[in-house]
Amino acid sequence: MSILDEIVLLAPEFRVLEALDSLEPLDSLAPPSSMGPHAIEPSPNSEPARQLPLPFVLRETSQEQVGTRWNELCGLLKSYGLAIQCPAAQLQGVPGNSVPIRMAKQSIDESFLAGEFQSADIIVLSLRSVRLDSWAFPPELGSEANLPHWIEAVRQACRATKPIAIELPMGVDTKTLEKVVAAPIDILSLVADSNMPDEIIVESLVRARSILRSHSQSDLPIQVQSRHSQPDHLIKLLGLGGSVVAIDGVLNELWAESPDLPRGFLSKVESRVNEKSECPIHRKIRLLNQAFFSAIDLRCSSPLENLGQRLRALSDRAEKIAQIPFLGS
Amino acid sequence: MTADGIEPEQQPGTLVAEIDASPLSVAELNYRLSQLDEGCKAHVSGIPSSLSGVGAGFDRSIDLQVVGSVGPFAFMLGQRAKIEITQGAGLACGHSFHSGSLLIRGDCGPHVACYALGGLVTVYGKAGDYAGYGLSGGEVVIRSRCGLAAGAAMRSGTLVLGNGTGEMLGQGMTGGVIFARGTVAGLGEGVRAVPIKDADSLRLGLLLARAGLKTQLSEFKAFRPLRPASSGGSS
Repeated sequence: MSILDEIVLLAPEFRVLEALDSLEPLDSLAPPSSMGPHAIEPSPNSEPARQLPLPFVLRETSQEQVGTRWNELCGLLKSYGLAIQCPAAQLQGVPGNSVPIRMAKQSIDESFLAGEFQSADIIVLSLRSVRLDSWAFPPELGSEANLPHWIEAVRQACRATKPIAIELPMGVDTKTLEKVVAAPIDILSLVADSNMPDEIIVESLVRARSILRSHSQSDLPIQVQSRHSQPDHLIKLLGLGGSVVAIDGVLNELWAESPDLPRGFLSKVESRVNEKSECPIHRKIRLLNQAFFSAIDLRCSSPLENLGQRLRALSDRAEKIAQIPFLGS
Repeated sequence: MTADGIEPEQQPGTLVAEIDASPLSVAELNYRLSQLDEGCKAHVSGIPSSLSGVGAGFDRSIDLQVVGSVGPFAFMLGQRAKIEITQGAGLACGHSFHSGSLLIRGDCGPHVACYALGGLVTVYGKAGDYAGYGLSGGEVVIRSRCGLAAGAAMRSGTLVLGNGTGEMLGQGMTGGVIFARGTVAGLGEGVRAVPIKDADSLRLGLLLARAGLKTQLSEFKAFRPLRPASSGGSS
């Protein structure tokens, strides 16, 4: 059976995509009368601690890239309720009380650091080698049969108190996906390389969600990282089965506006901030969340209701396992 | 407990705990281990070999003897303890070991002490393939034979192989040193034999003594990467 046949069989997922395609472009979208029970309109001048639900995460954006305003960025993430992920060895640089959820990423071919596991809220175990460009099942595990043993050992090392995510590349074969899904994981994370075609990203995400359904794991959240920088593209990834999407592509456009990173960008940001305007990060994140909740309001039929339920399930799970309060009223 | 029902005082070094692990899950066993007092001794027996992650994240300064064998990923991320396993160990025993010592008296599976950051891991029996894979500062001593690609992807630390090696010794290593005695079946890419200097000889002798072994140091050869990484390993 070809990949195209699979996509045809998964047509119900594309009804969601068609529904999202019919939305008006973001710039002309009228603010909805009600943004739903889980959203609070953020104000640039408001105090921190306004919180929103968790469909978005910041990954791969490092303290080195942002420079001296790192703490300020973390505070901004907290005000929008966004999680942050970074390599386990750098997690100490993320102030613990400034972001709602800190995710520590540990690659299969690096030493595990005991201290970072203690401070992380979620542990992301990447099966992708940091040294090799191409994907291969890690030799460190011997065979796929050892994957559950490895996950269990990591879970034991952090006293079974933290959700564990497994990270795989987009386009990974079905056999590997099925083995990972069958292992005792809490989150599946799929990462697209920067030059990966959209067709593969869409197919991988839809296939992963299909495999989860066939293994009675429909509630398992899928975290998606791609290069997409347009908010409506990220919303579509949510509609196609993602539970959480990374917004680094959105912020990378902002970093790219200034060639003199990081100080050049930050001075431009400062010059734009006044009483009547928002900084670019505020605006983009606000638009993302507006579009997302508007989509839920405009389409109350089952595909998007399921989307909202999945997101609620993610937050509920985080609340139970990591004792992180549900973000939102 | 004494005959009159009084529990003996806990003295450092006194045997205070006998744990029968046969009815326990791995979580229950690890919890019991985590509750042991610092500075004391403990025996654990009856661990089913199917349990994964026994002692994972173990961080107590105690003398722990495991009577029997352990399953995969035992004592992963272990710190500060002095651990002895009287029989064998499964896959990746001592993975990312941080400090303390780990002695395996029997044979161990592949990837023993892989990515170990510190401490001393000693295997008296045979080691499977990829012993000391990705070693990152720890010290590993294998007394008997080892399998394929021992010391592959090493970054720093010391690997001692006491009775010959398999093919692809040190494949892709970027730092650290391998001391091998006996027949070396084949070197990995990027690895070269080097003369053993006096400092190396002294270090090897001390390491073997800590591992409880003695032999003629002159029977060892040393191997290092052709092009060490700039951030290097221990020399």
